[in-house]
Amino acid sequence: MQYIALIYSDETFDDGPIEELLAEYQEFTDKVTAAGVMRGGDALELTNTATTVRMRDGELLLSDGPFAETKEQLGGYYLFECADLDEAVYWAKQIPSAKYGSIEVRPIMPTDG
Amino acid sequence: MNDESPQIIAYLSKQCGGDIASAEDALQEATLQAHEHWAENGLPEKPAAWLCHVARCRLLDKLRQDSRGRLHFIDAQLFPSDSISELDVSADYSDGDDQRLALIFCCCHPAIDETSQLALLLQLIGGLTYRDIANQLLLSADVVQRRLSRAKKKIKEAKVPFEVPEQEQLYSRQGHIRSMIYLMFNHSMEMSVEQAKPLLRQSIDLLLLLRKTVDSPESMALQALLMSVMARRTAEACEFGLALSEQDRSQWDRVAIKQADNLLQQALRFQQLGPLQLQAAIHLLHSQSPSWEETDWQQIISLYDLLIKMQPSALPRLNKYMAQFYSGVGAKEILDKVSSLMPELENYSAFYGAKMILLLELADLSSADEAYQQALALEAAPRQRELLIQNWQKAQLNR
Repeated sequence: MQYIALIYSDETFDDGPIEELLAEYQEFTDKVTAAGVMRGGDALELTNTATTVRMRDGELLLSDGPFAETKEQLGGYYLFECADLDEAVYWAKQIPSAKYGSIEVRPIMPTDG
Repeated sequence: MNDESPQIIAYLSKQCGGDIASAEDALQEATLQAHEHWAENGLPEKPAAWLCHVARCRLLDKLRQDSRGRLHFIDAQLFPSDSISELDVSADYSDGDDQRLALIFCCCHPAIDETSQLALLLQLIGGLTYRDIANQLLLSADVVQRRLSRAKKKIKEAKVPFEVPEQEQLYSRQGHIRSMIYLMFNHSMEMSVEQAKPLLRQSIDLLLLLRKTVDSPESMALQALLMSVMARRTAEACEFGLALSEQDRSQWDRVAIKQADNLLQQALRFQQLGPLQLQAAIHLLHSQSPSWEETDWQQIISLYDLLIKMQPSALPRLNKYMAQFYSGVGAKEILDKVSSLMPELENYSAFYGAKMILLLELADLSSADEAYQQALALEAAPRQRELLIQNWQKAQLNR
């Protein structure tokens, strides 16, 4: 069973040196990889690089910025392979940003027959 | 619904990857089949095992027909045979008690919103219909049905675990589990003695399991509280909805009250005071008082003061003001205090019930009548309604 952990935090939030945060993320990534839970994950560039795409009546509408302006922005994700929701939560709570942002955990919809 | 339905549903749900709705459908079909089959062939030796087996076969049929092919959820080992002739299946769910607890923990998982948790417990463990649940939760039956199906969908799709949590997790979830036990218990107290049985039994079982695994002064106090309430219910059962002040205290179970008191004293010795210890202490002061008139209101008031410090909400305040009224403070003064709780307790029947009592004391009949109507409109629980109606009728007779 796969779960995606979407990492939301205030991207303007200055929580100490970035190197420290990156080191924490590296440590966490190593840990989930060693546990055999890691199925993927990436960090995203800031929302000022975002472009929102919509198709309306066959016409392409592009706009600058993220889909929704919110206090916390999607900053990255992990994809975990877990037995159940509790296991996914066990890993998600250890994502460094969980301490000040929020992690949304959602099951991946099975598409196989 | 028979007594073993929660076990059967727990067993079947676990086998099909947490699909509670399908488990319920299968059990319902099996129950219909049982009515026909048993009428012809007589009652089987183990009716619950028979039902469980037939329901399991129905469930397997359904999963096979499911064109979206959810068969990969099923461990083939768990369905070695779907032959209906094999009737020795009692062993299949002999660990039914554990599975029932696993179902309870699944229903009170913090990933599900709290109202839905309670609705799930009332339905699956308490055996209540949509309408009964709606009455208990002050919601419409439609809303209850929607919430229940959404919650079951989440359990299945997000794979909320069907397990009794490990000690460490149980430790961090214990506060929540206690509030769910308290709510289940409170709802069971609103039902008839017969209807309340499954819910009452399950809430006590759950509490005992919690205490066995991770005990704490608050859990001990909760048990003392439940024991104390039940000790008074023996007399109440005879006369449905009799107010505390009217009950025949000689009918109360003194032995149970003593045991509850011992348990609370044991909890208090840890010197980690919590809201449940205070509430249990208040209940026990009522239970131990020889009569309504001799109630130790001063001590009850100071316990409410401590409770308000821990839980600064309007409800303990309302209770404290009423205790002050019963201790002899004038109705006018109390009415002012009670009225100051207005925006917070606006939709709370007990608030209008308290106002009604105070207004009757002040002989303001038209305002009292208004408060009575509001209280009645907001109260769904039959026992509380009965109390209100009797209070009101008695006041009319005294005129």
